[in-house]
Amino acid sequence: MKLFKQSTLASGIALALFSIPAAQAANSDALEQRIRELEARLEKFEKATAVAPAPATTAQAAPEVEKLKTKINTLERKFEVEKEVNEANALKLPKFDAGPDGFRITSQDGKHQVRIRGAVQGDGRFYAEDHGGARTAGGTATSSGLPDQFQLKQARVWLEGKFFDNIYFKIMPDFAASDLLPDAYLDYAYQSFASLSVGKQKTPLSLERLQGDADGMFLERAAPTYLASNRDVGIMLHGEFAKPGYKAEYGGPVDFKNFISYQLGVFNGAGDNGKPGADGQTKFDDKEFDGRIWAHPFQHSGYDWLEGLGLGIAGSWAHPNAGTIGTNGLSGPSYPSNISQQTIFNASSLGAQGTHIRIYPQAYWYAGPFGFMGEYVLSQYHLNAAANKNFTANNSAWQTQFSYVLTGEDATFQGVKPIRNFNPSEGTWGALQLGIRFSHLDIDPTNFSIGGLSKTTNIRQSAAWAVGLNWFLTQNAIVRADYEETDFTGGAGSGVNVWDRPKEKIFGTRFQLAF
Amino acid sequence: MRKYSFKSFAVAALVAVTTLANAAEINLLNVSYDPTREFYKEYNEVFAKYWKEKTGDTVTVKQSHGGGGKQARAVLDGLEADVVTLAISYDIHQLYTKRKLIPENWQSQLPNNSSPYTSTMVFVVRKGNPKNIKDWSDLVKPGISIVTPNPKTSGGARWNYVAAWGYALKHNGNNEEAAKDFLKKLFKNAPVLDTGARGATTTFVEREIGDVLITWENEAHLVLKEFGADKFEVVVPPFSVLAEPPVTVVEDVARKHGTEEVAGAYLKYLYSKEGQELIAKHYYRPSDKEVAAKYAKQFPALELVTIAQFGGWDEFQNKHFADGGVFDKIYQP
Repeated sequence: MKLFKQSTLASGIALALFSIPAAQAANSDALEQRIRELEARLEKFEKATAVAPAPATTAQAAPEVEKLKTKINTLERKFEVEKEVNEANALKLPKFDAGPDGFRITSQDGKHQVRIRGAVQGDGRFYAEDHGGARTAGGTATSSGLPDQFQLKQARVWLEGKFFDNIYFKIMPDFAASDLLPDAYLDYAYQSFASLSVGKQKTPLSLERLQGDADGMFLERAAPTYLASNRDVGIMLHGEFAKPGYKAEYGGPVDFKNFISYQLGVFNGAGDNGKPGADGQTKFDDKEFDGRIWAHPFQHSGYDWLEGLGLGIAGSWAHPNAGTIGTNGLSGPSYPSNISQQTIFNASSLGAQGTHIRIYPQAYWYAGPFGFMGEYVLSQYHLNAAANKNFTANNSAWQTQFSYVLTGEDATFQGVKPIRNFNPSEGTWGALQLGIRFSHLDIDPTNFSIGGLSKTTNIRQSAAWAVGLNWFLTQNAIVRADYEETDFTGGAGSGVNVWDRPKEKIFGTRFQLAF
Repeated sequence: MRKYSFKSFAVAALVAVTTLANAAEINLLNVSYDPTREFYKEYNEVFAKYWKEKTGDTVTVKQSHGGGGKQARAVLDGLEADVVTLAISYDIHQLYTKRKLIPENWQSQLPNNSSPYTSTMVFVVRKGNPKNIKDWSDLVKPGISIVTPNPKTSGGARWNYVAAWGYALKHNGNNEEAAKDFLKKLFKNAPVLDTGARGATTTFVEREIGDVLITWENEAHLVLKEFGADKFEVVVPPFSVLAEPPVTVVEDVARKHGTEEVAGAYLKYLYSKEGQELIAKHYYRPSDKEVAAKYAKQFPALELVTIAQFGGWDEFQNKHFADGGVFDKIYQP
C-alpha cells in the first residue's frame, strides 16, 4: 500500500514535471520549484517511514500523504489551466510562414494577410556591334554607341495581402527604376465575378506586359508590349468565372487562373509605352477605356495537352486632344528596341489630335514542357503635325515565342518550378528552359510623309529574333542568357540620305532572385 | 361514414406536398456560457419539436460553451453565433460596442431585460461539510481552500465576485478598502482559477481540490445529480447575488444566415410555459410567476444583492476587472 502511494506520488510529480509546455517556461519555474520542495518533503517522509515502526507511521503519515497529494493535484490542475489559457492565446496569434513565396503573416481566421516579397535582377549587356544607331552617309557604321555594361535592372521589395478576406492590396516600390512606385493599388474582391481595383496598375492590354516581370522567358519584352502603356492610374472592374461545376479562384486584377475572366477599366491614358508622371496626375480630362476578355476554353476538359491554351482579345479607346504637345498621352508615341531599350522611334513632336485605339488579339499555350505565346497589336493614333496637318497613323507589332523545358518540368505563364533544385553535391542541377522569339514592329509611313518625322532618326520597321536560355537553380533563383539580333529599316543617315540603322547584336545575361 | 371526394384528397395531397416542398432545414448556433450545456441540450430538442409543428421547418441548434467573457470574445473574433446566451449583460453588450453586431437597445427587446431566468451563486462542499462552511465569511478563513473560476474569463466568476463584494461591503459598513481586503483574502485561498464554471467544477469534483466550490445554483445541483449526493452537499449562504443571464439574437449574423425569425423565436420560446418549466427543471429560477411559484420549494429564499446597486455592469466591470482594476490589485497568481 505504501509502495503504491509512493509510486502514485512519484508518477504525479513526474507527470507534473513533464507536462510543462516549453512556452510556459517562465511561469513554470516557480511551479517546478514547488514540486522540488514537495519531492524533498516526500523523500524526508519516506526516510521517516523507513525507520519508524510501521503501524504508528502509517497512521501519522496519512494526513501528510493526503496533503502532498492535494498539492500535486493542485499543481497539475494549474498546469492544465495554464495550458488551456496558453492554447487559447496561441489561437489568437497570427501565423507566420516563410518559404519560396516570401514571408507571410496571416491572422488565425485567414481573413487578414500581409506578404513581404522581393525581386532583384542584376544584368549584363554586351553589344557585339555597338554603333549606337549611327551610320555615316556612306553607309559605314560608326564605332561609337553602346558600351558593354552591368546593370541593376530591378530592386523591388513589396507588400501585398488582404484585409477582411476580400480587400486586396499591393504596394511595390522599385529602387532601381526611374519610376519608383510601379504598382500601388487596392482591389476589392466583392464577388469573384465583380471586383474593383483602384490605383496605379498594369493596364489590361498586352499579354506579355501582364506576365510577371520575373516570369517571362526573355530578358526584355518584345515589340507589342511597347504599344501598350506600361502602367496607368485608374479604376478597373474585373471578374472571373469558373467552368460550370467548378469554383472560381481569386486571380487578382488580371487573372490567368480561371475559365473566363474580364477586365474593364478607366485610366488617365498614359499612351503607348507611357506611364503616369511622377506626380501620378494627368493633364487632360479625356480618359482611356480599356477592356480585355480572356479564356481557357479547354480548362477541365480532360484534354491535358489543351488545358493550358489561353485565348483573349484586348482593346482600348481614348480621345486625347493636345492642348500642349509633349504631355504624357497627348503626344505621338515613342518605342524602344527590345533588348537594348534604345529609342528607335519618337513621335513626341506630334500632337495627339483625336481618337487613339488599340486592339490586341493574344494567346498562349502551355502543354507540359512546351510553351507558346503570341500577340498582335494595332495602335491607331490620330495626330497633328501642324495647322491643318492631321493624319492617322497605324503602328503595329507582333511577336511569337516558343519555349521548351529541357529538364521536363512544366512550362507555365508563371514560370518554371524545378523538380530538383540546384545542388551539385547531390547531382541535381535545377531546370533548363530554352526559348526562341520573333518580333516585328511596323511604323505607319504617314508619320514621315505627313507628320514630317525624320527618317534618319526614326526607324520604319524592325524585325528581331532572339534565343534564350533560362537556368532555374531554384524556383526563386534564375540565371538567364539571351542573344538577340534586330534588323532595322531606316532610322539612320543624314539629310536626304536615309540608311538602315545598324543591326543590333546583343548578348544579355541576368541573375535574378525573386520571392 | 363520411365520403371523401377525390377533390378533397387532391387538395390535401397538394397541401402536404407544398408544405414538404417548402420545409426548410435551419441551423442555429447558440454561443453560451459554461454550465448551460445540459439545459440547452434538452431545450433545443423541445424547441425544434415546437418549431417543426409550427412551421414544418427542421431546426438544428448547435451549442458552444465556455467562460462567458471568452465566449463573447470568440463572437467578436468571428464565431458566427445566431444567438448568444451569456452569463452577464456586459459580455453581450461588447457585441454592440466593439462590432455593432447587435443593436444598442438589445436588452429591451425581450422581457425582464432579456433575461428569461435568474440564478444565484451558492457553495458546494464535501459531504458532511467538514470545514463547516456556511457563509462568505467562512471562505476567507486561513486553511480554507476555495474553487472559483477566473473573473477575467468567466461570467459566473464575476457573479461570485459581486456576491462576495456585496457581502463584504454589507459587513464592513460599505468600506471599500475593507471589502478589497476581504476579496484579497478570498482569492488567496483559491489555489486554481479555471477559465469557466465547468472547469471549476472539474477541479473541485474530479481533481478533489478545495474545500468549497462557489458556483451557479444550477451547477451545484448538477454536481449532486451527476457525482452523487453522498459525496457533496449544497450550502446556500444567507446572502448572495441576483444573477441575470441575458440572451439576444446576433442580428448581424442572423441576417447574413437568414435565420432572424427562427433565432428570435428560439429566444422568445424561453419565456413560454414549456421553456420556463424546463428552466426550473434545470434549477434556474424561472421568471414566469406561476412557474416560479410552482417550483418555489427548490429555490431557497435568500438576500440577493443586484449589480444595479453597484452602478450596473459597465461601471463594475471597468472598476474591478479592467486591466489594472481592483481585481488585478488584489489577486497575485
